[in-house]
Amino acid sequence: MGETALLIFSFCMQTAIGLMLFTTLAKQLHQDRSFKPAAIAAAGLSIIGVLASLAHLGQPLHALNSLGNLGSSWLSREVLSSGVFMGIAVSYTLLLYFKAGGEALNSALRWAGSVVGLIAVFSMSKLYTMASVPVWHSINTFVDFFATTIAVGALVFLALSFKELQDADKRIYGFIVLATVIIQAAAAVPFAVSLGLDGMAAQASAEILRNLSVVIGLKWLLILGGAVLLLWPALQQAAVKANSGPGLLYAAGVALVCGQLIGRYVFYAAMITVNIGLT
Amino acid sequence: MGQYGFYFDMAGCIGCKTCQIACKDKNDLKVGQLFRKVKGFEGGNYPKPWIYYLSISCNHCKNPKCVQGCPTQALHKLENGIVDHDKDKCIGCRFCIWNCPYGAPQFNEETGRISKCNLCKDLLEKGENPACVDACPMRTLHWGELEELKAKYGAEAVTELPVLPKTALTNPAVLIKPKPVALTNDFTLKED
Repeated sequence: MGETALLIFSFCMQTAIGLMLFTTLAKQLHQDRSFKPAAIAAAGLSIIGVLASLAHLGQPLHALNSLGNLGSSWLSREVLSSGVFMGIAVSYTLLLYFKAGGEALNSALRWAGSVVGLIAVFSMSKLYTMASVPVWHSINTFVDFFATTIAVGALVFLALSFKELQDADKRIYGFIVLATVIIQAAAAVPFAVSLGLDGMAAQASAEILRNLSVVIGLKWLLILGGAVLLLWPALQQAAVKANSGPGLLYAAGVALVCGQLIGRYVFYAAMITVNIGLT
Repeated sequence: MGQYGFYFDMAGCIGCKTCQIACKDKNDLKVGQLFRKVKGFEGGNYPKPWIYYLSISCNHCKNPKCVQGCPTQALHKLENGIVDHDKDKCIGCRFCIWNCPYGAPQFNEETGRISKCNLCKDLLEKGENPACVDACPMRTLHWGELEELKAKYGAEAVTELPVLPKTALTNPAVLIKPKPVALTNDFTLKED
């Protein structure tokens, strides 16, 4: 598979955006905490993502040319929104680290980062659904990208903020992640059924997916298992008002991140472009 | 100025690939790169097997997905409908390769950019024909304003074929006079 750079870009950027979303949510719930590690990770991951996207280009030094068609190209829009998000994530981290900004500015940056990040995820989804690649022509592409953003973002946020949230009720995060991956799994079923009924390029993609069925099974096991592993101890803790160690949380995070990474690999591996004789 | 396009007479094509080679030579294309391709399709059974060839390049579509998606505007439409490529703007993102349903844009690893058929616009400016058109020994390839091509060949020509992506996707500026067997859905791509 020759799209490793794009896999790294999309996954890191979506994780960073998810981190920003959950930092914004958590600050609404716990205003006295700073969630610095999550902010640093969001900035770092967005930088890694942008660097990976440059590595994909044949002419990385001319990357700014990619802003030249905002009027009609979703790729231009994706580049702009991802770049602005990276700028916001890095600015937010620097302000937090040097304690330079007031809470009003920090809050504005968090909200702006969340909104711009969601626009970036929408643009990423849209550009893939616009391509002449039938396996990507589906609402499933949107669901997959937003689900990765939310589920991986939540897990990485919780893992990085474990100390700050040790005494907090984490059920809301567990419920959000579980609901997200259930929607993701539910969207995958009609998608898989309809793909085999489409044209030749779609059927060629369906054949690749059939050959990867064990890998896809592992993906769902890890994603759904990770979500349950996150929610279960959160429910237990709430019931007995006790706190357990971070072991299960880290295990849930690793499972879910690996599951979504496998999913993204499959997403690119199944790419077959419509062509002459392959309609 | 009207939209330029190609006309291809499939019934006359013998699959010699002279057009493909003339194009490759004219554009000095590297191994693995082809702006014009001749593809063979076969089917049927003894005693009625059949084969036909399709010579196709960039179709200089009226609604080109490559132009719409290109983030740099390196790919753009000229006044005469040619989909041209500005190599100085191209960043080699290869999004056009995902977008074009005809496989027209070709990535060059050495330059880190894509390139594609521009209907030999330099030859057209000199009053000459595109290299592929002049090279065809069977005179099956023609070019011109699409409306004129339609007026001249339209009665026998089609734009939709089972081996081609749906024209509604990009509205390609190409007319093809098909062999009757080219209208069948049961085909196999012939190996080169």
